[in-house]
Amino acid sequence: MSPALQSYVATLLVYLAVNSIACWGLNLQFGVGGVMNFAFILYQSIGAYITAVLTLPRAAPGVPETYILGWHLPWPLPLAGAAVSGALLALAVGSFALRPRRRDFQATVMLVVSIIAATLVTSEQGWFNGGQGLFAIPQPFSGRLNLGISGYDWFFLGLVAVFAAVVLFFTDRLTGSPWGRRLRAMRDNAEAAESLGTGVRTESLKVYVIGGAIAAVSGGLLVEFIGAWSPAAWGTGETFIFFVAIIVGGLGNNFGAFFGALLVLGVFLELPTFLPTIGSSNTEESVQAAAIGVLILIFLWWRPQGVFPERKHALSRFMPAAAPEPAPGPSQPGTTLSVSDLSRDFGGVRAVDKVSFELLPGTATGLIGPNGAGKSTALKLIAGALKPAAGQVVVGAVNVAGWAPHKVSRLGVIRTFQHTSEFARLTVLENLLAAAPGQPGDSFGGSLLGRRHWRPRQRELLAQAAALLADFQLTELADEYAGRLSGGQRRLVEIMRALMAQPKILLLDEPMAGVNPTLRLTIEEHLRRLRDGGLTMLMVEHELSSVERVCDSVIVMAQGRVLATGTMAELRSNKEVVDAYLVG
Amino acid sequence: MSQIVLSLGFGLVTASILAMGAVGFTLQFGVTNLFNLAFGESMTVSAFAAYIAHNDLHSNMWLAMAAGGLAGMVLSLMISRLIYLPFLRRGTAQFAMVMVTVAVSIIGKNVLSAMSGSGFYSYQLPPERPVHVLGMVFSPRQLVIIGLAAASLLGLHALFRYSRLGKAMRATSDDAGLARSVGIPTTHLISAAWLLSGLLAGLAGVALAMDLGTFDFNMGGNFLLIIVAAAVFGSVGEPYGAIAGALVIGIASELAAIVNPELKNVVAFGILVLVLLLRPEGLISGRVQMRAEVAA
Amino acid sequence: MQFASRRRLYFWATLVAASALATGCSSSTATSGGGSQSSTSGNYSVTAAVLHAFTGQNAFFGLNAANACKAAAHQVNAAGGVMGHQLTCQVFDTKGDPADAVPVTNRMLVSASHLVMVVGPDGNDIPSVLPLLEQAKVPEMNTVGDPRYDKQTSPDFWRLTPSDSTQAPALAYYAIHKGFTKIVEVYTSDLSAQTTTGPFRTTFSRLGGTIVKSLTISPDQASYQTEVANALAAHPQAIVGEMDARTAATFLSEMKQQKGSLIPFVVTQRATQGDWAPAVLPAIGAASMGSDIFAVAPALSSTGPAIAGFQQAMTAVKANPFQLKNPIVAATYDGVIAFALAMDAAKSTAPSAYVEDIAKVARPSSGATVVHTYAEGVAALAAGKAIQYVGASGLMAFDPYNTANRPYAVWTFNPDAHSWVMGTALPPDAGQ
Repeated sequence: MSPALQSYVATLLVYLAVNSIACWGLNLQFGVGGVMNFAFILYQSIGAYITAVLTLPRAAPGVPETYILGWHLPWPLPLAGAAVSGALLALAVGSFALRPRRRDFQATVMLVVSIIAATLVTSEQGWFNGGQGLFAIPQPFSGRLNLGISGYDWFFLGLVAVFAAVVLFFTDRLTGSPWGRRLRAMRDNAEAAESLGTGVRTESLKVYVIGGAIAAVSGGLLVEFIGAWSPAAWGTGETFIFFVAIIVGGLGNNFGAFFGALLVLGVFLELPTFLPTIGSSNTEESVQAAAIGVLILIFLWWRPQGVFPERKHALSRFMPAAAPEPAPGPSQPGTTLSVSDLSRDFGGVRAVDKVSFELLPGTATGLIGPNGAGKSTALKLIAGALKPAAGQVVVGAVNVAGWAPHKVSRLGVIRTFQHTSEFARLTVLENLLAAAPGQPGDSFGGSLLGRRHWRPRQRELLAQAAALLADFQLTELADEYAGRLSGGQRRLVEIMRALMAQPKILLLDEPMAGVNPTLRLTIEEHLRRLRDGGLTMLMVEHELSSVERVCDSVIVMAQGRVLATGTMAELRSNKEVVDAYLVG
Repeated sequence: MSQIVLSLGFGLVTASILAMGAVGFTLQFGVTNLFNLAFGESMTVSAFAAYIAHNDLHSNMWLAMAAGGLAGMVLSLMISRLIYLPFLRRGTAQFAMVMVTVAVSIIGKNVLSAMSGSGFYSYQLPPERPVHVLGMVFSPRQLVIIGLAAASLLGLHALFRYSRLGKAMRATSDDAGLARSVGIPTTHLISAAWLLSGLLAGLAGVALAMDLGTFDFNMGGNFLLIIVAAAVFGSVGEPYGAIAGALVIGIASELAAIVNPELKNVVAFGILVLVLLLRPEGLISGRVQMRAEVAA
Repeated sequence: MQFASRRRLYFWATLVAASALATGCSSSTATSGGGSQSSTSGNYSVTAAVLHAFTGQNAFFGLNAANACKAAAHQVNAAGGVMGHQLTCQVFDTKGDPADAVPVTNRMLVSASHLVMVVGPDGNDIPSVLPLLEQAKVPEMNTVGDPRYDKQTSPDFWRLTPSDSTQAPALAYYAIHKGFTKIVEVYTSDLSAQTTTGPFRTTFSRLGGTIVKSLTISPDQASYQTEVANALAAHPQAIVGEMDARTAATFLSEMKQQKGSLIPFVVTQRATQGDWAPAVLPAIGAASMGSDIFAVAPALSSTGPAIAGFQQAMTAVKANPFQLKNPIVAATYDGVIAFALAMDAAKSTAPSAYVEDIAKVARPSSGATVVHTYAEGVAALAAGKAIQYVGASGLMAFDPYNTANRPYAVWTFNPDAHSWVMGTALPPDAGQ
């Protein structure tokens, strides 16, 4: 190979490695964490800029180039600086961009940030030399090593390969840990994850920051190779090229991300230049750029999971083969739930109006009433999914009114959802494991400590989960994706999941909805057993027969207020109640 | 002081265009629950349609404006039916839908670029004498734009308050599930929402092209930024909030330019950040609940 | 879970395959590129690579460069080529992105057969591309205005048009000369505008002018009404500065609308680029365009065999008529011809051999025969004479840092002819 050809090949491989690192960062944010970072290119860019201004010495007077810092630090400190800057920028942007609950809203805000940042960097000459950008950034060790042109390129490739290996190892470790599972659960259903103890905003911010740091490192490596950087290198369209790469390659799969980088960035963008020109070159580029959009549509339609879908975490082989122990009851007896004067408005209507009741451990209470009575709203208020306008919710001795849902859940208040809320792209076993509170390895720090740190506890939890599965007779579905199950099965998974969370107060929102009569009896049996084991239960339900069989007492709500309380028999002879049901 | 009054007038023109765009964007979101990032391209297509009507077919500007509005309506309805609806029926997640709209935006922008040769176009309207009103300076054309915005927003207001369609739209914005259960035909409503939003995009697009003097395939996409800022200001999905946002951002930008022209960009951005930090669901208390599911 | 061993195998296999693919692709393109790869002496063509952005907002720069190269090649080949070899122009699109430009440059170095010169790249890409060209020892010619290259020392960097640091003084000189002593300066806050303000202000005040207001405006805004009102409120005699096409169209049309007419606008050579007039003219109308806009841009030869040959060649390669009157295009054309003549003078197409002759063939010296076309130059060299090529863009004398400083002229727009017309030339070193 001629030196020029060697340089070319080495350059392509360097770009592949750098882009893989970037894709792994984005994959962590979006594929694993579900955060749609439409400002991605901004983070690669800050990494490039900071690496540049930390490598360069202060601008010599007389040279028309102005930039901040200029500390002339030895390698690899500039890259460390890049990682820090990417993390800090992500922290700053995430502090407001991640505040809305909707991911598409977050994404749009990030896109706006990306555009504004480009404008600011271009117009503020003093930051990074404005529109002209930075240049003559020395390549690491280039002076000291006496390699030829292509020799240096191979050396740099080696450097980048090391970084790539480290990033890959790091992201793999994070993704495979309980924290990774928590992130994926959050990605699949943020509301359910929050009700099981995940602080969605905080965890999203964490994954955003880590991804930002990784993106910045990729930018730093790139700028060290090419020696220059300017706003022209980071148009907003670049972000979507990375998105295409990981969507095509496979969301949530690091090999897929690498493949996507190879395919989209390497082949798709380089290859057309080998083809003959059709029409004017302007048309050709437009066609190429439009093809990115077409590719997104094609893959989102036919194969949204990408060429290499996310690997299934099949944990059933770690389940004990021995006979299952009896299903775990609540590890401690349930807690008292005391609700007083709970109120909430919706658009001028009193959805919940001064509701008060008290629930004791070892009891199951039904909450019934006509449509629109405010029953589900009351549950949401208790669990923290909605903020009450007034009133108290006392769990044990603590008033949790107005608390965020994940904080309420940590006190043992677990709720199930009206619409099935399984984590669709997690297996049934993973769904159960995701609910167990306080596992080692389910925080960022814990995940870094590696398998030895979290494996023992995971084994224990797997045993518990195995017992539950056996109890509900779903053992053979342990490794199935929860999203593929039938409606009734998903309902069971949700209940099992709630039980894995070791609830002290269980709030059930229409658990029997859409469930066939046989299954209903099974569920009722489990609920009775839990009640007898000491759990506090509140069940919103329309199936009055189920209510009768499970609940000791029943609360009737209508138009936001508590109408009456008593046993089903008592309520049946209460005229007011009967009227409300017929009328409401 | 006179500078401030002058800028107020200028801001009013920008706010008018922005209001039409932001209301179109937010109205469609309210009913369909979809963040349509291809909205800018609808504006650009409409501007080009008006160009064809006015410059190639030699119709007057009013007809051209109508042509632009029509183009916006047709395009919006087509995209929603041919692309968005099939994806939604397929069960595409809500956040993936915004990727779909981005893809449509990319395709649209580049098709326009190829077809227009990336060149600049202008309606080449004859020059007019400026009109002085209360210390503000307008061209007659700009007064028309303000009038157009006022008329269309008043029309919308009447629609919401007095027509069944409008009331149904508000109801669906508030709670689609409830609306459906009460018997409101949401599919028709959704088409109506896309048509209305497309019409507003069209009018805003032509007005913007007129005001800029010259436009190219990037016009709408560049404008989408402040449309989003205005829509977020008053709670996305709430049309009256979008009007408020348009006024605040349009006027504040021009006032900021008195101090330093480079602040223009930063103003819209700063307002957006401030709103998000203080009240992520918008400053006007949201009638619209940010629903999780997307209406099909 | 860690990377499964089978996955690891796939990873390495793909990496190896990727390298093989890249190697295979590039070696096959080398032959499909421009001309045969056979290195036997005799009939091979030499390549002038046009390395530019052909996409994005600077695409027209690329188009200018490509057509200039083709026109020059047309002239060169009509006179028998370079040392008997035909000159071909091959286009490489950098996409205007310094990161994308690097692999493209690498590919160019691999696939362009008998690469003798590079036309380009533009200001965005030069920082990342120049080191590669220097390593490959291939000379390049550009028309970048950035003053950071005023004292550059690479023997392979050749700037065919003056630096922005001379543009600004010329701008100031002309403004004063025209009687505009009280002006508002307006620039957009991006790229080349930033390099012009400093030198402009220094020169303008030294020559006795006053800047009553200084405005830096953001591009891509929906309205500049307040900025325009600001400018008008200072009652200047003229506005001086630089704006890109879209910004200028909006700004000027709003000025016209507020005031009823335009005030004179003295603008840099940016206005003579192909996208400016098509955007601004419809926005402000032919009358204003013709009477109120003054562009200070490098001068062209107005008559003579050089300009005639240039225009004839441009027409032959089907260039846009705008480009025939564009001084930057003419300068690029001259650059290619000068490089070709340098090869003839050095009697070699090897870049390292002929680089020193580039400055020589364009330098004025006693005893040198002045030639105006490639054919004339070849003939004179064959007769053993030293030559000075003065081409379509006029005198092109490279300073010690390889920048050709040229005189500027005032250009006005002729709406009927739809083109810029060169007026009086400013004295060389105007304002300096």
